Amino acid sequence: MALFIYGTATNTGKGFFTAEDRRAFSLRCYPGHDGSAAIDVWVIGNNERGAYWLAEASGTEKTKTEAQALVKAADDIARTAWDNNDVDGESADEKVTRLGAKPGFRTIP
Amino acid sequence: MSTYEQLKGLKVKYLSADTSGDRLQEGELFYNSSDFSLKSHIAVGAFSAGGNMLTARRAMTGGAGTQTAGLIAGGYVTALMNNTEEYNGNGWASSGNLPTALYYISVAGTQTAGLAVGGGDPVKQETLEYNGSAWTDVGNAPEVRKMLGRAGTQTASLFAGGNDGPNAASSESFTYDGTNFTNITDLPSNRGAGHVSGGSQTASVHAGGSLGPPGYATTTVEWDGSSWSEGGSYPLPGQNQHSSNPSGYNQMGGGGYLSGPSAITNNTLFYDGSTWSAQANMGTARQQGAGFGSETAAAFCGGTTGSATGATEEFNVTTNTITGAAFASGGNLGTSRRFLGGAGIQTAGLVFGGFQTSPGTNLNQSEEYNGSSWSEGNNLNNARRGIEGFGTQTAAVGVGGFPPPGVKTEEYNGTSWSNGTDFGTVRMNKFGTAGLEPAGLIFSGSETLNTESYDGSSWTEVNNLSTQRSNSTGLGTQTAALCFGGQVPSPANTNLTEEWDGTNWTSGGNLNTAVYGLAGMGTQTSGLALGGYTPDVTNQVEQYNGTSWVTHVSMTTARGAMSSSVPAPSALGLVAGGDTGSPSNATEELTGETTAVNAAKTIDFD
Repeated sequence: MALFIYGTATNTGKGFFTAEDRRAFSLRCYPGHDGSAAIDVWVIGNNERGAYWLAEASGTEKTKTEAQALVKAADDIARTAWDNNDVDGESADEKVTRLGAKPGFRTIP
Repeated sequence: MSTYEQLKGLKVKYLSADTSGDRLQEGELFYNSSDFSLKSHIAVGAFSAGGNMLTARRAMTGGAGTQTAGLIAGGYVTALMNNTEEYNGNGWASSGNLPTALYYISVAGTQTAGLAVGGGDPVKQETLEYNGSAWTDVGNAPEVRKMLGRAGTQTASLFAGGNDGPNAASSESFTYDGTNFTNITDLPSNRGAGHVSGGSQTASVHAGGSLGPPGYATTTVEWDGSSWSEGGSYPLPGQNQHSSNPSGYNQMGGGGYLSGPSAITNNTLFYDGSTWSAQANMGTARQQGAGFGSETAAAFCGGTTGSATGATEEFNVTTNTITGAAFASGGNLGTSRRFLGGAGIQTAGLVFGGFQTSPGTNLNQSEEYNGSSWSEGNNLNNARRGIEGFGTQTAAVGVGGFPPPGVKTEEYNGTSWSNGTDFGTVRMNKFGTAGLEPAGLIFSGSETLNTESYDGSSWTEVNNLSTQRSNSTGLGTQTAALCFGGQVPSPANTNLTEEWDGTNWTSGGNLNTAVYGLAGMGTQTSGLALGGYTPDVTNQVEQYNGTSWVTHVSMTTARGAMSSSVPAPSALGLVAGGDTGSPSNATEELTGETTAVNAAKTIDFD
C-alpha cells in the first residue's frame, strides 16, 4: 500500500484541516500551478481518514507524477520570475538581498 | 474475634461527585451520591502521537531506555545509517553517531548507558557502548548477527536469536557483563528477523520471530538466568516487530509483518508473564521500527509502512486521555506576503508589512486576526519587509526592516500606527524580538551582535550576543529571551542558541537542524522554532525546554520568513504568511498537547 495519497484542493482557510485531521493522518501542502492558476498540492497520509478528508475538501486526486509536475510548474514560474526581476546596475548579491535567494525545486515524498 | 471490616464492611468514600485532581487515585472505589453509582477511575492503555524522529528510517532492531529517556541508532533509508537519536518524552534530538553505518543493530540498556550489538550488512560482530553522547567500539560479540533479541543493561545484558551471515534464523544466545560475552544455552528454537524481546539478563521474554525461513514462531520462551522455559502462546507470529524494554517478564510488543495475513499490522499485545492480550492499536501500522520503555509507558518509532516513517507513538496505561499537539488551518490572510512582522496570540493576532514578489513590492498593510478570519487594519507609516514585531494586537511594536535605514520603530494601539523612536543598530533582515509593549528587546540581524532594550519610548543598548548572526529569530520576554538559528556569517546556517537573563546572553542547547529565516514563539523554557530555510523551506518545528531542543509535530505547509505570535504560549500559537516558494496567505493555528481525565467507570454488580 502506498504511503501517501496525492491531490489538489483549495485551502479555504479556517476549518479546512483541523487539529484532529492532523492527528489522524499526515498532511503536507506544496504550492503548485496548473498552467493557468496557482493551486495547492496536498500530500496526504494514505488511510481512511486521509482519503475522506480529500473528498470532503472537494479535492481532486492525482498520481504522484501529476502532483510532482504541478509543484515543478510552480517552481519553474517562481524561478523564472526571479530570473526576470532585475534592476539596472544591481549586483548579484544586491539582487539576493532584494529578493531573497533564487527559489529551488521541491520534491514531494 | 470479628474485625471491624467483617462487621462493617469495606469503607468506601461517599462523595457528591467523581474524584478529581489530587483526590483521584487509579483503582480506588468511591460512591457518587449524585448519580447513585459505585465508581472507580480505571487505567486503560492508549496510544498518542509523539514528536517525529529527526530522520525517518526503517530496519531497526530494539531501542533502549524509557519513554522519557529513549535511545535508537542505525537503520536504513536509501543507505545504511549511523545516526543516533534520543527521545525525551516529547521529541527527538540528535546525538553521537555510530562509528559505522549499520542496520538491524540490536540496541539495549539506557539512554546514558546504551549497548548495541551486531547489525549489518555484511553482518557484524560489532559491540558498541554508549555513554549518553558517544559510542565506543569495545570488541566483538561471539557471533556475527543482526536482528538479535535483546534484554538488560550495558553491564548485564542478554542477546538471543537473530540472523547469521547467510541470513538464516539462529537460536544461539549469549550474555554480556560489560566486559566479556558468555555463551548460554541456545533458544529452544530459532528466532530470527526481529522477534519481540525484553526484560533483564536474568528474566527475559522472547516471542515470535522467524523460524527459518520458512515459518514463524507462535510461542514465547522465558529465560530465568539459567534455563529457557515455555511461556504463553504468541498470537501474532511474524517478524520485524516492536517491543518495549522492560525490566521483567511483563512485555509490550506489536506491529511488524504478520505471516497470517501477509500484511503489516498495527496490533499490539501485552504479556503478563503467562498470557498475551490485545491492547489498543497503534495509529500507524508499521514494521522494522524500534521500541523502548516499559509495558505501561512505552514508545514505538520509525519503521516502514511501505516507505520509511519517522512517526513516533507513545503507549500509556493511564486514567487520562492524552491528545497530541497539532496544527490546524486558520483563516487565510487577505494579502499573501513574506518577510512580514507579527504580534499577538491565536485569538487576537496581528501581521504587518512584508513583501510581494510580483511585482516586487514592500507592503504597508496590516491585518488583524480574531481566531477565525483576518480583517484589514490601518497601514504602517513606512512600507517595509523584514520588519519584526512584539506585543499584542492592541499594543504592538513593529521594528526595523528593509529598505534602509532599518532603524524605524512604529507602535500600534489596536487602531493605528504611530512613529516611535529610532533604535541604534541597523536591522534590515529577519532578527530576534521578545517582550510585550512597553518592555521589548531586539537582537541580532544584519550580522550584528547588538542587543537593544525598549521601555515604551526609547531604546537602550545592552549587552551583546556572543555570536554575530543574521536571519535569526527570538522569543520570550525582555528579561528571559532566546535567540536561535540564522546565518553566521551569511550564508552559513547556524543551529546556535543563546539565552538572555535580562542582563547577559549565555549559550543554550543547539537546534537539531541549522536553519535561517525561521520563526519563534513561546517562552525561554517552553519555546518553539518553526520552519525556515535549510536552504529549502521546511515545515519542521522544534521545541525548547530551557536546556535542549527536540522535535515537535510539524506544520502542514513548509515555509520561511513568516510571522508568528511571538509572545504566545505554544498552546495558542499562530503562524501566518511567509515564503513557500512564493508569498503565502496560509495561516496555521497550533493546539498544544492536552491531558484530560477519563470519566470514572461505574461498577456494575449485575
